[in-house]
Amino acid sequence: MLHLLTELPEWRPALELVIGSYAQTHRIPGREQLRAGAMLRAHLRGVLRRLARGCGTVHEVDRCSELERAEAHCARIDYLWTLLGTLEWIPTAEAEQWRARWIGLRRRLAEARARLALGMTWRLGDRPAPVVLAHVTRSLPAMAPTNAPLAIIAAAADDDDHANGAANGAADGAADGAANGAANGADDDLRETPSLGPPPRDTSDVSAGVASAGVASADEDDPTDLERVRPVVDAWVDELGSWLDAAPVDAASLAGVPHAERSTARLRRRRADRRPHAQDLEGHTPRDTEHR
Amino acid sequence: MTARHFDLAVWDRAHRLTSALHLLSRRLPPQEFVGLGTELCAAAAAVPTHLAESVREAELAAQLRQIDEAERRAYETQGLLLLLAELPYLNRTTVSMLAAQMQRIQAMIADYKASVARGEYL
Repeated sequence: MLHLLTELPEWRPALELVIGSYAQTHRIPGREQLRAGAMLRAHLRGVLRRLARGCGTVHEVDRCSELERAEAHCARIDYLWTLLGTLEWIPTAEAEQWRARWIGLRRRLAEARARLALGMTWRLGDRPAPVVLAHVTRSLPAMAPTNAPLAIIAAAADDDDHANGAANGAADGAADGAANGAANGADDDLRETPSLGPPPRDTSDVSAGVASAGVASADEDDPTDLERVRPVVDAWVDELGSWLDAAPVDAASLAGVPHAERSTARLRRRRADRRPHAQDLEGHTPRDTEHR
Repeated sequence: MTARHFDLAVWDRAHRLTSALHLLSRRLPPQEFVGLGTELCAAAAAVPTHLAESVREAELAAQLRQIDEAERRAYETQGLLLLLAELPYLNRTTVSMLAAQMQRIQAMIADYKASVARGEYL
C-alpha cells in the first residue's frame, strides 16, 4: 500500500516547525552559524527524514523505530534551543518558545508511537510482543501527565478496527466500561462494567477513543475472547503500572479523562495483586482473601 | 523477465532523478550544499542503488528487503525535497516538480515490489 507523506498527520506540524526553526538558525551570529546552526539544521532535517522513512515502511514495528528516532532528533533540538538561549545567540525568551514547541512535537510523536504500538499489541492478541511493549513503555514517559495511560490505550484501540469482534460492541457507547476494562484487565471487571453513559464529550482529547477500547465489549458468553484479551491487558497492566510507579499521576492531571482516577487506582491495585510479595503465606493474593 | 537493473524502468527513472538532484544541489548556498545537499543526494542515490541490489539478490526475502530500503529512501528523499521547496534557496516550482517525480517513483517501486513478491524476478 502506498502511503502519502503529506497525509501523515504528524508531517505538516513537523514540517512547519522545521521551516520556522530553519529560519531562526540563520540568526545565529558569526562562525557559530556554521557550527551550531549546521548542527541544529541537521537535526531538523533528521526529524523529517525519519518521519518520511516511517511513512515509507510497511512494518509497523519499523515505523515505531523511525518515530523513536525522530523523537531522539527532537530531544537534541530541544537541548540545542536551550543552548542557543543560554548563550543568547537567540534571545532567551524566543529560544524557550521554540523549545516548548519542539517538546510539544516530541510528545505528539510519542503518542503516535504509543498508539501504533498498542494497536499492534491489540492485534497480536495472545501473542506477547516484547518489542512492541518496549515501544509502549519507552514512549509513555515522553507524554504529558494529562495524556494518561488509560487514554492512550483508549486512543490506540480507537485507531482501527482492532481485530476480532471485540470492537463490535464499541458502538454501544460502553465508554466507561471500556475504560475500566482496559485499565483493569481482570475478567470480573470485564463482566461487571456495563454501558454507563454517553460517549465522551471532548473529542479532541485522546480519551475520546475510550468507547472502543473493546475489552469491556468482549462477549461475556465467549470465554475464548476473554482468554485472548487477558494476556494482552495483563501485559499492559504491568507496563503501565511500572510507568505509574515511576511517574505518579495525580488526580488533578487526570481531570479530563473519564474515570481515569478510579481506573488508575484499580490499575495500581491490580498490579500490586500480581506482585509475589503481595501473596500471603498460603499463596493467596489479597483479592483471593477478599473473596474468601 | 529481466535480470539486469538497467532494464528496470523504475531504476532508470530513479537514476535520472538522482542525476538531476546532484546538478540542482550545486545551486544551494554554501552552508546548505554540505548539509541539506549532501543528505538529499545520498538519499536519492540510495534508491537506484538498492533497486540494483534487489536484482542481484538470489532470494526473494533478500530482494524484498532491498526494495523496502529503496522505498524508505525514496520517501526520505521526498521529505527532504518537500522541505527544500519551502526554503528560500531554489525555485519552488522546480523542486516541487522533482518531489512529484519522486512520488511517482514510489508508486513504481510499489508495483515493482508486487511483481517481485509474485516471483517474477527470481
